[in-house]
Amino acid sequence: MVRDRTGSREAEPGATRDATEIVRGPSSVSIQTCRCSTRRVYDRTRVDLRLTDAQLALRDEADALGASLRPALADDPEWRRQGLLSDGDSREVTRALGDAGLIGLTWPEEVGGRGLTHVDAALVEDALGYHWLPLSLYLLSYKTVGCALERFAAPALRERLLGPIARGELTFCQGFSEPEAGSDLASLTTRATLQDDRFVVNGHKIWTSSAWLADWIYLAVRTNPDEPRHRGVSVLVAPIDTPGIEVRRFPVLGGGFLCEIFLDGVEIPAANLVGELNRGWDVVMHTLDFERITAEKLGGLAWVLDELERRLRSTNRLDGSRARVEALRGELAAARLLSLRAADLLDRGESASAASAMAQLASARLAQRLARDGIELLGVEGLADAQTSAPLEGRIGGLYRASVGSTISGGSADILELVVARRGLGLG
Amino acid sequence: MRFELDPEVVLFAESVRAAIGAWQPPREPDLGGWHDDRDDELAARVAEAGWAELWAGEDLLPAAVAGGIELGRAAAPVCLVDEATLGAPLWLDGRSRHALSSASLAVAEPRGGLGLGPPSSEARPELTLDGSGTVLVDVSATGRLEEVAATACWRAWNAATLAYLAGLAQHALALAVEHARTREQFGAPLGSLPAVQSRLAGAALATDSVTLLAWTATANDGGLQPDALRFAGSACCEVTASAHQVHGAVGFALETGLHAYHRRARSVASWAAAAADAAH
Repeated sequence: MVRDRTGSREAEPGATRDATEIVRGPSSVSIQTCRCSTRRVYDRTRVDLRLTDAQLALRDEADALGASLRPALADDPEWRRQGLLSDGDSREVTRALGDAGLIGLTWPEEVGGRGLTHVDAALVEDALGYHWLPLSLYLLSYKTVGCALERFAAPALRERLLGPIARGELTFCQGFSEPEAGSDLASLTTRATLQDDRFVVNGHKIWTSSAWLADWIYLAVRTNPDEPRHRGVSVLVAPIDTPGIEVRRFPVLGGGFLCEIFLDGVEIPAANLVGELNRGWDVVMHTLDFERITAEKLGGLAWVLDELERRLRSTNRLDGSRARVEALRGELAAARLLSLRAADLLDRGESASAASAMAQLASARLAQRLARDGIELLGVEGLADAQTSAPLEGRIGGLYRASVGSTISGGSADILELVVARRGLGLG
Repeated sequence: MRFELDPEVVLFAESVRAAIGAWQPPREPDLGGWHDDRDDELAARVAEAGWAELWAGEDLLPAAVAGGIELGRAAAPVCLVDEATLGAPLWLDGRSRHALSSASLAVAEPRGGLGLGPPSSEARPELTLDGSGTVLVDVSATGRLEEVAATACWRAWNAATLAYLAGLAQHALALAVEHARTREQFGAPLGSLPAVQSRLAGAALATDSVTLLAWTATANDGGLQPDALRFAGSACCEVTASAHQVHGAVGFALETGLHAYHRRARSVASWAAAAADAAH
């Protein structure tokens, strides 16, 4: 090997060659193949993550909007108490996002979208999350419910709902979980009976985010009780003020509210069926793949990490904690890549279940690790909670509370691990 | 942004894999003894495949990652990383790897600097966890590389080291998944137990995290990435530890070979962390 002990290596003989010159043709080598199914995962981890100019501009656009909306939120006590602001609720912020054309990015222009990719949308959500915007209504209305409507709803229903969602005028909540159907969602018992041109729905949903503010609800219901479990499930949508729907909200550890929904003889037009009758499980699974890409949470965690490092530096504590901060930054970078990879799979129309489960696991674990490490590194000042004059605006205390739920909401981490093992590694 | 590599980079990985061939780390080394797994014939084969002078241009970073993963999968000697990226064995904290008879050492200097200089003392073997031939040695005054050249070397070392960690994790995970599929207990494969599935899912998450960070290092225009190096090191160690747990007692037997990945992961993670420290 030629070595240059004096300095620049720019002039060495090898300096001008490019990657193609060091390649040996495939005909002369024996190609080993991995017998293990994990190869499928690794084939998707070859990545060049240089953002395009258009993506940089889009991210800047979202960043500027987030910065402009944040000051108006500071006086809201709910905003100060919310420990993971992506879980926060705000109709005003949702409307502002619609006005800015940032809802429905992946939808065709004719229904109010921009025809962009899910990777683009994840970049936008990360940028918005960095400013701690309350994004629950946006996430439900666009990413989980809206994207499922865009794919599965009949043309008339799409036309009716997607435009208003994209403008931030129509918001959704998602009624999946039930008191006896949590992680085991396929055991849901909320019953919908088709009578002429309408379904009559009776049942009970719980842990429903944003139902107290949303305009419509997206419901997983059992339409054929004679079929076992995931067969016989359908998905319906209805205005939340439909007679027979009662919403009760209750405060939760992370700040804000969750809701339970009582459904008593609720009449929903048959035209509000999403996807095929009794084939709703496919719709539900697709919805969860979107829900589990939590780029917005990572943006919020990035802000906490930036502020944590700034505080440690300004109080001369960074040198002693640098390794932990750097490891957290590395974990954040990896979590972002896992989110973008899952989004990329959705863009390609490929199965994203294992990848999106990994993305959510990474985000959830980072939230908890950052909360624990942040409080430890800050000492007693890290206990401040909802005190905006405190370091990090008192957010670490809130994050410590809220991150408990990060490995529960959107799918328990214990169950997500089984999804990764079974769908990603082929076990079980 | 794209999540696929150019075909020529894939071909390069295959050529490095072919050059490694059937090479394997020693299965039953003398534990607690001094061991150097340097293999000049292997070094010549991978150099012939193009694994050399990876500092020479940013367009070589995909090759550094693609080849680095293959070297990690084989737990190949780490001198292959140091010499192809820094031009000599890395010297840190009074130690160097695979440097028993090296004429020159690559010295990590503060704030991302890099120097090259000859040893100024006799190299004294130090017993270490893995077989990477660590020696205690002093270095005489070094010729400090120009900043641009130093950054280019560290950039290549950073990418190749992250990739090597990814390769170690990938192979350890693949061994563990294969074992979980084929080893039967309670009348069923181990992999049907939710606790085992959960552990392997965590290992897969860590492995993919390190792999993605490695590929992202191909877009790095600076030198060392302390954030990625620290996280990847500990994540890789987590994977190899999980692989041991899934293997149970059989992984504890040296003849199984998994131990080489567990020990090498800790070694590379510590060197990566030390390099990250030196970058400040």
